[in-house]
Amino acid sequence: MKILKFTGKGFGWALLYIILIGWAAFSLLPYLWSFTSSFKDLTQIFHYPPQFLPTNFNLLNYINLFTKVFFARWMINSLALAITTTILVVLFCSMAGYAFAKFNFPFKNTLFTFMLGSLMIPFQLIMTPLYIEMNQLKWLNSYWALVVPWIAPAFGIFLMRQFMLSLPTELLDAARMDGCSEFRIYWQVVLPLARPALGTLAIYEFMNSWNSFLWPLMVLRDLKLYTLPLGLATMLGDVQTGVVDYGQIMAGAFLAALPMVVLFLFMQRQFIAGLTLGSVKG
Amino acid sequence: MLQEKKMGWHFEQKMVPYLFIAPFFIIFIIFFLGPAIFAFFVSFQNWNLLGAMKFIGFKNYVLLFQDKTFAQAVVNTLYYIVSGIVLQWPLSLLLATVLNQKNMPGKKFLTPIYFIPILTSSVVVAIVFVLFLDNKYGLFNAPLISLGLAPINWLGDTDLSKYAVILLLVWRYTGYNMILFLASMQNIPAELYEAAWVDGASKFDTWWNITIPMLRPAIAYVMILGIIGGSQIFDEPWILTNRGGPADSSLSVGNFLYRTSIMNIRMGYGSAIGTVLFVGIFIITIFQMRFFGLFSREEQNA
Repeated sequence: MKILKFTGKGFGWALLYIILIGWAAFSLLPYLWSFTSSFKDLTQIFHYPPQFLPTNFNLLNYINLFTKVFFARWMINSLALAITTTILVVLFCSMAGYAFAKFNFPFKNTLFTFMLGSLMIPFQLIMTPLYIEMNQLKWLNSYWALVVPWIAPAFGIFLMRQFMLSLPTELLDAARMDGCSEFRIYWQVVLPLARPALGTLAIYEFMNSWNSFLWPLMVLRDLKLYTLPLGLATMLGDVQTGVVDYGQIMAGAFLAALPMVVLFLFMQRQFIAGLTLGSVKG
Repeated sequence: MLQEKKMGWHFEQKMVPYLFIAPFFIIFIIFFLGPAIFAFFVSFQNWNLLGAMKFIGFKNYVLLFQDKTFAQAVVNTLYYIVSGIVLQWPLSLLLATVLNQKNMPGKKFLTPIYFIPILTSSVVVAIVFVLFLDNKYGLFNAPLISLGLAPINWLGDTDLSKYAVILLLVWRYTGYNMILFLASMQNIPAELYEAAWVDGASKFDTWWNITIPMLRPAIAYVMILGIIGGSQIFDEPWILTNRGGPADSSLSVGNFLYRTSIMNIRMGYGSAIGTVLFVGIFIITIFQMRFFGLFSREEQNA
């Protein structure tokens, strides 16, 4: 392919590079700014003109974060919730995806269409009644509400099914001939073969859970049960009342963003696959 | 004995797929379909969760269509959706096109960077942007102040607050859309370009006549994502402009719904909002799928 080959010459290329690098810098700016600001004291944060590097470097913001607010607790809560949800989602989606891909059973197509149709229900439609339901179940302010309704998303099942279609049916039949139970076939043959797809779905779900805000905001009341995004949002509210300052919240923001970015740097390919899951056709 | 084993196998074989799909259907019926139907029912009631429900007919819907705050929230939300098309798309298409060139130095290094914003919770980023856009100390206002110009009051001005939210949305989703476009561009067969090149087509011709048409499924996907995601925007205005302020000038429909159902405990009214949104999004999605020919016979054979 010789057309559109990079020549590295001319004004046009220089301009394109400026746009490319400029956008990359803009993308990274909030991370760099929150990182350097997390070592500044309040007078420097509100200094004019703004200073990028901290002048009197100190760790006070981080110390406050772990002593004055429940930051460590929120981090553990977020992590535990994300791990639990991800494991259950991967389990239930792979089970259903496998059934839709490799079994023939009465009403299969009807049930499959029904499942796909469920993707059309926007969260706003069920937001109010689901809240009422959680109230009736006494699940408000509990983790049941954060996990149980979300463990079998139709989107995940659809993706699992698309992947499982490509698994060799002969292999499954051979295992059946050997007297393997259906559940054992799923557990010991299908799951290991589907590992790449499981990983992709797991990353997608983990990130969704780690970053989710609206539903936890609706359900949780107890500060100690909060997740990271909720905790940080509360800290921003505390800025106005003077309980927390901006340095501390920058430290919190940086620590909340860090795990995902680090994970991404180590697992780029899987992340990109996970987050572009929907565009199956490519 | 043998026969018994065979019959057992047969029974298991028949039941297994239903057992495997059961979790989805149980969860779906209890937590999605049930509530969805219940929402329709509650939308005709007046209910504050504590007392008894009171049937009031279409009154919630009538009130909703006269509600100025709802109208404002719908307009704001449309701003957010349209900004996705007007600002994110050209930029992400441009970035994708440039990164799709052969032998671009720095391509491997730059591409992952564009992806990073989508990884971070919108709450976290909004908090950082609060500091960027601050009227007195904001980083983005510093150049203006140093030039002796008046700082832009992004977060405190009723005309500008929407654009502050839009800036944050553009920051967060442009790179992600770019990756989707880029992935799609890389799947375009090289022969198509070679043929065009032999025919003496210019760079722009090949881009316009090959790249863009071949991107149709990706464009449709990004558009549907943009509309569904955009119509549900909650976090950005909630955090960045302090619950959709000032004076509801950046309030999204999602914010309005949260305020109605959860803060003011108006279950009937909240359900009516949800129902209206569902119908709206449903119609737009169907229209879009028709427009892009998704799920049509022609596309399936292609």
